[in-house]
Amino acid sequence: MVNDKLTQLKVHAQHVGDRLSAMVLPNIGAFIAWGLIAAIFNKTGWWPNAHLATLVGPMSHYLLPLLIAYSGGSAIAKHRGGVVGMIATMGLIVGSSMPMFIGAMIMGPLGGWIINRWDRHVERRIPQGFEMLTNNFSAGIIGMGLALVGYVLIQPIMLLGNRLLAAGVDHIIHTGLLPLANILIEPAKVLFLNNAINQGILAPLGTQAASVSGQSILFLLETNPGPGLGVLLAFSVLGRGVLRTSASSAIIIQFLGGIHEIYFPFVLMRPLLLLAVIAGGVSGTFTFTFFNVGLRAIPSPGSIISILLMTPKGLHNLIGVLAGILVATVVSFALSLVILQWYQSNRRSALSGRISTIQPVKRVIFADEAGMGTSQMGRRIFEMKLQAAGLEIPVQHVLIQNLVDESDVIVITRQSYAKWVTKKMPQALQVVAVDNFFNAPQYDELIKKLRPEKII
Amino acid sequence: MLRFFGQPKYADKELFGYELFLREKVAGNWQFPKSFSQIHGHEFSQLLAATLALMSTDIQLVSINLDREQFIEEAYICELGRVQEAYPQIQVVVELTEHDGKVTNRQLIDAAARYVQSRIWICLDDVGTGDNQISFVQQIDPYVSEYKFALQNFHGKKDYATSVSPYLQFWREQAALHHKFFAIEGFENAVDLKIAQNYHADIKQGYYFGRPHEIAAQSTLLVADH
Repeated sequence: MVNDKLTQLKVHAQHVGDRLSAMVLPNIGAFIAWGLIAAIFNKTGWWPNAHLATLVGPMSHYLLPLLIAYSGGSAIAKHRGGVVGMIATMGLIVGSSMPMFIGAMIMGPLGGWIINRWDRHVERRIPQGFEMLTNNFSAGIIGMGLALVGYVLIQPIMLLGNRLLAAGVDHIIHTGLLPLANILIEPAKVLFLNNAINQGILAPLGTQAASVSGQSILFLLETNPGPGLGVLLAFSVLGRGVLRTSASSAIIIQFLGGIHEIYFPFVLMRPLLLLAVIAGGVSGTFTFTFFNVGLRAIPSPGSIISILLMTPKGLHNLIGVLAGILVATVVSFALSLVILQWYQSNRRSALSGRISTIQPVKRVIFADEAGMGTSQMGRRIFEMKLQAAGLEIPVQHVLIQNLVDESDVIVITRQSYAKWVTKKMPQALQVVAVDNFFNAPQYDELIKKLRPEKII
Repeated sequence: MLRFFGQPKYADKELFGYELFLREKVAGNWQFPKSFSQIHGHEFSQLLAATLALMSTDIQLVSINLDREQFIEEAYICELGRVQEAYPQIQVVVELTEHDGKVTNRQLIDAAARYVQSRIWICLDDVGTGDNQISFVQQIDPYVSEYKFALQNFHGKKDYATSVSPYLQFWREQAALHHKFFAIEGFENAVDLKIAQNYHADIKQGYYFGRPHEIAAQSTLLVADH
């Protein structure tokens, strides 16, 4: 009984992580653009330019949260869900002084879910000819309502959460348990909640300390690239398909470019990796404390190059800073390898031709190329079979080129595309190849396996 | 000599099937058989099996036309069931034509149930015409997979575009309500395409997409460039 509950908890945590990651990964390009502009044109950047640096604020405040909200909403209710998710997120963004990434991750999918439920409820009740009017007004009214809820209710809660995290870090620093501050800093980073900690605690305290002693270890707590680098290295060794190739290129962007955000989706996808980054952060900070090193000012961006430029002169300082980064990387890498191997051994049993009882099915996807209508017809046939079996699993049709790798899904495609789809969706529970979308025997076999306890 | 000629069926841009028409070779020319009633169910099914053997792996569905008398004949029910069993990779669809016949609805419904048991689909051909009107459609509903609307029945009528639209709208809605596939046949030109585009046919067929041609051994999937 306890084991079942733990298993369910684990599955739900992974499911949440996958959803969070799926909102960020498709928009990584925007994060990179934002990071590069900041790295190059900010006051402390490589080529400071006050005019061009004005791009940084609106991008982090508006563009990135809205992109995340659209991804979250559209994953549930396509374009309509994306639009409503974005409207809802504006309520959080307006009036907040900090970027609302995590808020967008909440409001985006919430907007998509609400409009999806509404559409299902009214679908057969809309009078002929009033579909467009109803759809447009319902999206607008629901979006408006959610924006108001976000502004009045959710935003203050988010700000309070941020302040609590910052207060927690502040308390740890003042009680002299500095390495333990990373227990809060690393999860806060991955959930995009690090701004209050950085700007509210670490930067002012660090600047104060540096004004007296010429350096501060506080500038290294959040900017240490070691924990993130360890995770990315583990994915480049043990990752599969697109994760492996993207991890390799992400290393350069994170370690040399200083754009740490690029490793957050990898951790969100496998929530247990939080342990790895925490361990890496704690051990790195412990090493910095052991060597009694710090930086002259906050390195911006948090790349190895900026960190070394901010290291005070002297071989001891250089060795200490490099040692802390190296220790953090090695600890994070070692733990990440163990965690990823554990995930993969779980997945192997799910992919060995049967659906594992610990991997509920979130939805079924019919994947095909544009212009191929029989897969759309097959989707309807399968949907009706699911309904007849009393199973409420969403069935979607997605173009193969638009597939985004995720777990807990089953993908049905034509025989000739099976290899392509498997390559695009290495995490999928199963890729089913059919010869005929009208009467594939695999439909009935699949439905037999899809018991209620396997459905999310 | 008898052969099946196939007219292509399209789902969006995908050529996925054929409607098969019998043709008889007379004096070197292929023409409609003089008498359909002289073609027995066994001969018909053997010819169908030989035709399915020639189909490429991309062909997922073929349909054949049976009038009401043929539809309830034991030979057709049994033999077509055997053909479907022998060729499970291609879905066989029986299109029940709308021609008047001395057959009761009860006989048709019983026969339809047996076809469905043999995993054969039923399509109501030319819905809204002849005997395939809404009352019969509702009775045979549990056994039907597809409604087929014939644009050619409206060609040549005055105000073709405006007169056909309400019928298309009605049958499109009926198909959606009863979870049937909706096929439109009789596309002859781009005007037909424009008129029908708002009614989102699952399956399209007509001279515009291709005329019936002799089924020979095939190799590649054809994707329309329309």
